[in-house]
Amino acid sequence: MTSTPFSRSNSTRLFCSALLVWFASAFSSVAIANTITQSLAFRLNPDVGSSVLSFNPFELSLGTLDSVEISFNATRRHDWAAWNISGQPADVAYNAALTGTTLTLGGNVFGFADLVYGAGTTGLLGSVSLPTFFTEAQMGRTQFIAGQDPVYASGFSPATVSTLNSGLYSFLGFGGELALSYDPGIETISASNFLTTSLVDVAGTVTVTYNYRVVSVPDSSLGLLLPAGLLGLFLVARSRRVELKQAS
Amino acid sequence: MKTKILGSLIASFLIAGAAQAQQVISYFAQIPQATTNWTQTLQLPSFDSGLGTLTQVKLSYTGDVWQSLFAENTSLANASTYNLTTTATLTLGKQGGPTLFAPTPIAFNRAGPVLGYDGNLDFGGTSGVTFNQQTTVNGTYFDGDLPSYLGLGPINFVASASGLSTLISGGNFVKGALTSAATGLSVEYTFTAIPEPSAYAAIFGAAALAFVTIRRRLVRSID
Repeated sequence: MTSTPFSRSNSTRLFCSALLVWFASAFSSVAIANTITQSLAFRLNPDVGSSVLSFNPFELSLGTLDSVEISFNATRRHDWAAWNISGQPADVAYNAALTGTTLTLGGNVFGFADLVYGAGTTGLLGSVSLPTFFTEAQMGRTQFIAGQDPVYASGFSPATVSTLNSGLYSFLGFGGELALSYDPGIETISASNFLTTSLVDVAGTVTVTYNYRVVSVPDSSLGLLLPAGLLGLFLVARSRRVELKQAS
Repeated sequence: MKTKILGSLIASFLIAGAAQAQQVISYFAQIPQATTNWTQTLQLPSFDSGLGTLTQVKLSYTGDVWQSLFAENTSLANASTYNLTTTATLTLGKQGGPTLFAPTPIAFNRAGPVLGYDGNLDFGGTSGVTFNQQTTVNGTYFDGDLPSYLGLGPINFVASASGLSTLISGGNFVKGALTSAATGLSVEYTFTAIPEPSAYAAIFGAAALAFVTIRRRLVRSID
């Protein structure tokens, strides 16, 4: 008796195994975590009180969006100066505080710690006699007067980083914009007969990070190729079985 | 005759009494307007004991304060607000002694909105403001320490004027405050005068005239 390579039971087992493989390959997927990061620079100063940052929305065809992180990293510079305009020597105590500084991003408020120049006592013993108020040419808009013996104070606030992980899907879906506005305040306490100036400058970056999963799905052609091959094998086995039957 | 003698004596006493009536002498000193903060000394003459007996010392104090507040928003980008306050405090006391006058501090406050920088740093226009105020305060004090006003040297008073400003605004501002003050002090010495030598001479003369008249009449009656 000649052995048959493809008995009926063997061919059935083979077919079922192949079908199982096909199902596994056709309907299973592989999730790969990925991120897309965009950095948006901004600057708010006396000339720019608010800003709108545009960014690319998440492309849904890339995969499934899991979370969105918005990191806010900014440095605030605050310059403050004072001049004794009493026309006579004066010993001056001053206290300048910058308060109420927040930035709003998409409805979320990022706060600065208040920047306080604490109760410094500075003697301006040199008389500063000014016949009139400063002219615009003397003052300028972004720099302080030189050569008058003012008190200076300047500082930088530490960077602030905040991350949001939820609640931004709808914003991103239609989005592409972050609105920034800035409304600082300054308080100066001193003896009378002083002229003070203040200037606030905030600069930084907003980083938008999309955390998403890339899903690996087989192509439809791959799904058709395997059944076609299996069908071919089945037909070959069947024809050989028929031939063997006829030969016997 | 006795009636006439009595009349002459009464007239003499009236003359002397008139010389001893209450009198007032006053002095004034001032510190002219000057920007604060300052502490200065006012000198007033002491009472001359030779004029009589000091019965009352009245001090009258006047303080004038000029205050200005000004601010300019230098932000092109944003309208903003200001809240400016300056307070002036005046005091006066005798040197080395207690404070005699301490009027209620004079506060001056203005708050409101301004638009973005209009291009002129003039504390005016649409982005700037300037406010001025002048205030006068008065006070009267009767000093019971009369011996301290006697002597040869002047009486020293120490006057002071100070200002404190609290200026709140947006972050991009030029702002300031000005305060100046002047002080005046007058003293009125009320005293009982000591009769002058002429008054005594008049009394003596009247008495002598009366005596001579009486004596002459007595001689005539004897004759």
